[in-house]
Amino acid sequence: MQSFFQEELGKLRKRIIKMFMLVNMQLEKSSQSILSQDFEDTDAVMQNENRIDKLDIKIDKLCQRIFALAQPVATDLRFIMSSLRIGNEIERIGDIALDILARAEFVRPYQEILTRYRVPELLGDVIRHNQRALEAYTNNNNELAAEIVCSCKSTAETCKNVFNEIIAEMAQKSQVIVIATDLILIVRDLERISNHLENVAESVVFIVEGKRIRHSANP
Amino acid sequence: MTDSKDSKVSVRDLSVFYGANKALNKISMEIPDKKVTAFIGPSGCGKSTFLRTLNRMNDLIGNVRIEGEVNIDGINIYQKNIDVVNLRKKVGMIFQKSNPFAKSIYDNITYGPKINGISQKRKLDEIVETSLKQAAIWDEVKDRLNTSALSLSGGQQQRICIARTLAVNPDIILMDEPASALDPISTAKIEELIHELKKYYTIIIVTHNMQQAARTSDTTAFFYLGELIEMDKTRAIFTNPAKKQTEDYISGRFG
Repeated sequence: MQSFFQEELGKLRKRIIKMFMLVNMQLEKSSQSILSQDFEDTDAVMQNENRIDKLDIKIDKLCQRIFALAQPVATDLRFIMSSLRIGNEIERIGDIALDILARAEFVRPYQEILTRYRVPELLGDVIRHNQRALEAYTNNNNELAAEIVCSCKSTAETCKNVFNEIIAEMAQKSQVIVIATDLILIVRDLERISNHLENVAESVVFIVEGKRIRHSANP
Repeated sequence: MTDSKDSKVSVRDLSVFYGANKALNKISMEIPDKKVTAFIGPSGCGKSTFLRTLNRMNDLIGNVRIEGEVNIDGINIYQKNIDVVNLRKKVGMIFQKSNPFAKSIYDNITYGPKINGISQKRKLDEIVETSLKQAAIWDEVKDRLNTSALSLSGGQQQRICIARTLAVNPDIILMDEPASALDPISTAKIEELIHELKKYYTIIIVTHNMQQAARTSDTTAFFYLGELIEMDKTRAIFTNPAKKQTEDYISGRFG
């Protein structure tokens, strides 16, 4: 006889996983929108965005209900607290993916510049981090989560370097200012996605170990 | 919140007096069918008195006067020609302290069916097995049905009492603090059982333990000083109650 409480926890886990997968689609679509010349999938992206927003509210309500009605403790409590936090983080990633998509048409013609500033590589990195974060959450894998924290820090660092390189080029060549501005915003978006995924991975460590590693230098 | 057409029990302007003392003041409510309804409130608020009006247990106390109506399946149980024994068969009750008879487990369960005229052994065996299974205690006692029910632990005794109630095939089960004398594991078993039983029965539970009300019930009614202050879906009561008194009570500010 499976307890009702366990069913509620299972429901929460399923909803977070679904949200992760939708956000992953958003990231892949925004990557395609920048790197592929014939991207026409904007409707699907908007539909996904609506589904993510609805899931966000559902997760919020479900957590409120579990807190109020089931008084969770220990691992269950950490799992619910962290799932709520993870839901918020990945919902934000979905929003940022839309920002990237909105800027795609302005940078798409400049593939050579995008490659020079490692944008395809960074897009691939954040998609991979998101997929691995989903894996860590699904399997309660704290070791993988700790690796993701390091990888996300590294990606964020690369974004900062690229940002500075673009600024340096802008200072020298006024004709690149328009494309460079869009590029800077995209790189800054990728940095923020990395930061959010770092938080997600830290929350997975909290679920498994009960240890808060955020705001610390060494996870 | 529950339409009267969906309700199993419909209470209209029910007041209960102990002598000159008014214990309940004009309570009206609809209790939904095949759901768990919890009554919460501080000691002396009238919740147990109200529960006992639902199978006329208050008749057994002298000096009690009742006004208003309690309709079960549309029939007022306080009208003159009601057979109270039949009523209590239809509306079973579980008490705070488990009260198995000093008889074997088997005899505890078959006591009610036998009084109701069932004597065939095969039929009685079937009732024992079904009732104990429904009360989630069959696996623990199936090999010792002839031992005394009093030899079981408190949690097991309580489930035997639930099985004994189920054996007479009730529609409604009233529970007055059914787990307050039990340890956390036995309490969890009773709560899980309540969750299973609501598929087949309308369950009404009085509890001092608000967390228990939150965990087990679909609907919660908050009583205070003989008044029904608020009744709503449990998730609404515990996340966004409409009345300040309810909020103050469930958040531990009084009571």
